[in-house]
Amino acid sequence: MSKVISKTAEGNVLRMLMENTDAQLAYLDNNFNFLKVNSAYAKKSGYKKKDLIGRNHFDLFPNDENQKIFEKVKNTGKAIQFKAKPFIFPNDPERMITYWDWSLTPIKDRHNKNIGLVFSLMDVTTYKRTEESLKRSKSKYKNLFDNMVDAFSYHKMVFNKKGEAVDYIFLEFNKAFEKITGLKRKTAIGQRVTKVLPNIKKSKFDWIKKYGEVAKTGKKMKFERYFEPLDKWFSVSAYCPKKGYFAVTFKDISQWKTVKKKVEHLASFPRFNPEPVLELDFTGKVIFANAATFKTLKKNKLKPDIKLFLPNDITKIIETFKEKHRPTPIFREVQIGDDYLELKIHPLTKLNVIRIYSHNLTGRKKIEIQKDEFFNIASHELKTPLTSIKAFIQLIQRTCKRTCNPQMGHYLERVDVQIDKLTHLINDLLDISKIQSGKLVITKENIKIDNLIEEVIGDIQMTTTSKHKIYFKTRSNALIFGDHYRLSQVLANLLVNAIKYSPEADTINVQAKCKNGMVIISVKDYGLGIAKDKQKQLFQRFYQIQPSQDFLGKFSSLGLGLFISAKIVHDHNGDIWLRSKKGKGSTFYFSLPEKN
Amino acid sequence: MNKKILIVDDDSSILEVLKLISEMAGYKVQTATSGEEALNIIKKDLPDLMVLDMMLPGISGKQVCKKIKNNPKTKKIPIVMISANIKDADFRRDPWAEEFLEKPLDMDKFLNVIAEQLKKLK
Repeated sequence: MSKVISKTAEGNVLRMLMENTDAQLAYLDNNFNFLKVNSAYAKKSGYKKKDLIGRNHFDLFPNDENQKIFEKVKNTGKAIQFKAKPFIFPNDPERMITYWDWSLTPIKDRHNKNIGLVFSLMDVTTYKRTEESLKRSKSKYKNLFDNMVDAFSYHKMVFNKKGEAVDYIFLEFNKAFEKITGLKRKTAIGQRVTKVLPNIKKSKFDWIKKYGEVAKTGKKMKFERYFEPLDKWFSVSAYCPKKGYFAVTFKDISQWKTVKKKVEHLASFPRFNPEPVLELDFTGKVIFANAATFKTLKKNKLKPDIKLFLPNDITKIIETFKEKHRPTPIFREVQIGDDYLELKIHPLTKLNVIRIYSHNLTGRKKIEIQKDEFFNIASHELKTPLTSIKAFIQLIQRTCKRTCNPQMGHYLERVDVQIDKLTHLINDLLDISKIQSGKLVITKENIKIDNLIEEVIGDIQMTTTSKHKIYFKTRSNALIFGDHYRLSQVLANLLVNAIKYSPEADTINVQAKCKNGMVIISVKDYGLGIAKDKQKQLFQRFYQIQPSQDFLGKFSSLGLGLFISAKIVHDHNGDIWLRSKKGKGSTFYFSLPEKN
Repeated sequence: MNKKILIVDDDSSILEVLKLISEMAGYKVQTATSGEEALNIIKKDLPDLMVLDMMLPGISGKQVCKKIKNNPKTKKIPIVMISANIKDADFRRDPWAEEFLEKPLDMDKFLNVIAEQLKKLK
């Protein structure tokens, strides 16, 4: 341990100097033991003064790098200085990295011999941190400025003597500005816009005047414009940070404008569609309706209530769309005032909407109504003369039975049969017309099906001129709910066919059986039979079995009977089918739901 | 005594032949070509049965039928409705008439129906 410095006046001055400085000072001997420290040093070190004196610096603050520096200063006798040198306190690892300005100066005696070292420190951690964060934020803002997606530019407005804005000078702009406009800092900064973009004066929109307003009035402005000199659309916001100056941020929206234009173009398809088009969400709320929708309502003097376009069962339809994995469109008809519309209700699951395309059927409906009326009148008018012809023929027949030659009676019978045929054709045509326009009316009542069968068999048996006997052996005792007239028509049609297509046979068997809640009525003949490949087409409209050579001409008809029968049976929620083999006769079946 | 029947149809040819056939069957026949005419005849001379066409000029057959059935004096007259459009639901649903026949008529059936209805009156 070195000698303590004597308390001389000089010593007092020194001590005062040491204590009245912010710098931390320590006097160390050649072995780096603390001989003297000031209060500032003790405070920063985390030790008390008395705990430091006599202790070795590197015992308390071990640091190999610093120790080497200390050794070097001691050995070379040359002082050393550091600026903002980082240091981590080993006794207080919680403390963040600290920065120090420090110097180490060897103290020499008269013989130029080292007697100790003065260690002087200044904590610059706070300063250093501030400086660093400043640096960081500066580069951050620079970065932001340059990497802004929006272009930024700052200008000084140039006014003429009258105070009108005539030009502006580029003062600053970012990289985005360069990218969007193609202008470069080197060539544009400090230049007038009229020089850099001479076309600006030819532009339809007076950019200079507009910006002039901003620079003059300090009013903020926001607008979207086509900028002719660059053939681009910009979304611009301009403001005035200082009078006579203006800053602009803008975005190139040319691409967006193109897309928007395309979208508008596409959207115009449903909008200008002359027929109503609507869109619903899956809760049934209307989210789009085109102009034609409202036009149709207005034309019919109805309130603008779009819901009128929705069919009554829309909720049910939406439910079915939701249930199905890949729902398919559903068709409905609605009446809007005098207009009839056919709706195609199209589920677009991916877009989560239901689109309704409509098609005006009014013209067609009117024609259909006219056609129905025409058929009604025509059939009535045709039947009126037929009625008197038939009656007169039968009157002649009655007279003939007593007086004329028997051959004459036979001829008259043939005429009577032909009149019946003609009547059937007229009735069939009328039915077809009604089926086409969906006006085949089914009037239901309770019917004992066995009774109906008996009646029809009786009628046919009475009027047929053939030798056939119709047997009704198996009865059902079933009650059904249906149209007496129409069901009689179905059975009569099957019986007449059975007679017609079994010219060599003389028996027809009719049965009625109950099975699974349905009554199945069958008509069996023992005639020609129908080939398998022909059976499916049988119930189609205007289908008729090609008459073979032998029977050519014998079985001519329009082939409407089975089509009409199928329609009637289906309207009763029943079915119609057959079993047949060529040459072995046919059995026609039709089923009807039993009434409990 | 011969039964009296009133036949109403706007077609004179039909009227003629139905009259002939009915007379041959032994009925006394009156004819009318419209609903109004038929109602006038009934006022003076009650028939035992009426054959009434559905489609008539002026008052329709259906209305004539309703009037007759609503009048206590005439309501017992059985009415046989005839029509070329028997498939019309309203025709078949008419609750007033006793019988419906489709045109063209089968004479045997026509006479049978008349006979049956007259038999019921006794």
